[in-house]
Amino acid sequence: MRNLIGLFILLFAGVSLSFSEILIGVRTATDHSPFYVADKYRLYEKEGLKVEIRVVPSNTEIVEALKRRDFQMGVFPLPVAIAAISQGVPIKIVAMTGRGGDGILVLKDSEIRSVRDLKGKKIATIRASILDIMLRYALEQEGLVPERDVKFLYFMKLGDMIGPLKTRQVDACSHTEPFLTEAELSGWGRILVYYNRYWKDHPCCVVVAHQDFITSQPQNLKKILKVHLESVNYVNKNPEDTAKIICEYMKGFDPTVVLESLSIQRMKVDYKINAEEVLKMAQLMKRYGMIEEVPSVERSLELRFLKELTQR
Amino acid sequence: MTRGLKGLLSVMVFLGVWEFVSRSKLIDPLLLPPPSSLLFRARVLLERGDLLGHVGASLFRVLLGFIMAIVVSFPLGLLLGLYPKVADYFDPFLQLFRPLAPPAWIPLAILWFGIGDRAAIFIIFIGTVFSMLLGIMGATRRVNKELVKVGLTLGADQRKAVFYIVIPFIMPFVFTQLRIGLALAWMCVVASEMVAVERGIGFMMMEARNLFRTEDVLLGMAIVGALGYGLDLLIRQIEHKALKWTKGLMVHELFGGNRSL
Repeated sequence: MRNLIGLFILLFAGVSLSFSEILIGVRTATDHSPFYVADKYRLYEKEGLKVEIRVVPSNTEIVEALKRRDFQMGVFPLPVAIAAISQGVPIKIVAMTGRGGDGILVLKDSEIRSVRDLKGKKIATIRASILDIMLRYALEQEGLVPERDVKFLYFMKLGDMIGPLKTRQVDACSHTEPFLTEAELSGWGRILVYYNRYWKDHPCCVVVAHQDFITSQPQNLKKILKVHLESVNYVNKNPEDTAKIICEYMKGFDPTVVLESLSIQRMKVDYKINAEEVLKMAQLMKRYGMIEEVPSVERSLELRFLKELTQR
Repeated sequence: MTRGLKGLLSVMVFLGVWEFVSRSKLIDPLLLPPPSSLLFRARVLLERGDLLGHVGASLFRVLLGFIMAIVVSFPLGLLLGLYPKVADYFDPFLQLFRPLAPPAWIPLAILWFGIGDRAAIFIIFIGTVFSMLLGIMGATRRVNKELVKVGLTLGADQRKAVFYIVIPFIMPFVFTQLRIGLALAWMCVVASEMVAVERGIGFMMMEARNLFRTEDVLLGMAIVGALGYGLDLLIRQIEHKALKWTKGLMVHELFGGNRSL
């Protein structure tokens, strides 16, 4: 009997221990690199935190884990955060992590020379993603009507779009780094345009926290954001080392390709975020039928911790 | 209480319990929205004109893929069942391809058939054909040879023996295979529509998942289930009419009363 009680105590201790750990869901993406850097150099431990960076295959899985409170924090594109918040998922955006880094890819020998040439063409994208939104926005900025002037073909994963482009089943695809740079450096692809041309330094991935975590562990959240600021600065100052670290997470990519993709013209790793850009993205999503109402700034953002850290 | 009423009652109780646990927040509605919210979303999507388009696209792909699978699996299953020596040549391919999950065919389907309906229909076809083929082949092999011998003795030639003895004998098994194949076709359509199509229940569910509309994901599942059930009922009706001769011969009539399965 005593053994049984001992076993229960051990199990309970194990469960308690796992609860004391902070889980952050990330994906394999270049602008998630501050989290890889923090993990690699044990920056969380230096702050006295027990943090596990869990790499998850897709954004939706991170949100689903947040819904279940399996994760306390997550990193994914801003539209994913807005869509989740608009559906009542109790999360808030607490910082930025990446800007830009996406654009339109065509074959090197394609006759398409400008965004206007896309009229009447088939374009691959991922439905309701940042790639979908920015593609529609770019088309509109060039005077095209997205649903009328082009044919969208929707895929599930980034990698799924490359084959149909190479085999000319689609004329272009809305894609992201480091795939864009890799396509260009390998000689088969051409980057038609970066969406930065239409919305300079547009927000991409953001850091979110579950409302329960914000309320119950504000000091720990602040420490995680402190580490985030440090690691963003590290990424920007040490791109060579960062490229190597990214490649440890994104198997199959060459560090030279990743290093090139990290260049400031292609994408930006950043922690600052403002309400205007979040609102602009939400309004675009509403216009494209992805959300029914624009969630308020108060419901979407919790920036006091970031403010406190940056005002120091 | 009739059979239909019993089924309806169990569904109503299930929906009532579901509504209660979700509304009372015994289970977080974010994780399990109540069934009433699914009805609300169905109305919204119907009013917007989206839902019928999705249903129509999926139904078209399922039926086409399924009919193609029947056209291939029925004669081939019969042939391989009657001629085991021919089956030996096919067996390695059947065993090799049969365990492959339909999504594994997606990259090849896109390469071979392009993106859109043709690739989706191919995935449904390939996901159903092997199961039905093996079922029909197995059923054919189990035909009692004494029955065929009697037919031949009474003057039938081989063609007549196949048409008037073997095929009627295997038909109850064929109908079972059709029902299994149809269920498989619905499983495949969801996977096949997650790649490069603009309409379909699978596409609707993928979009809903990307936008965290759990109600729409559940609605998609409910529609697939309801359509699958409806088509299964249709096959059962056809079976009931086509296999009238089995009436009075089935073991379940001895235990559970006289009715079709």
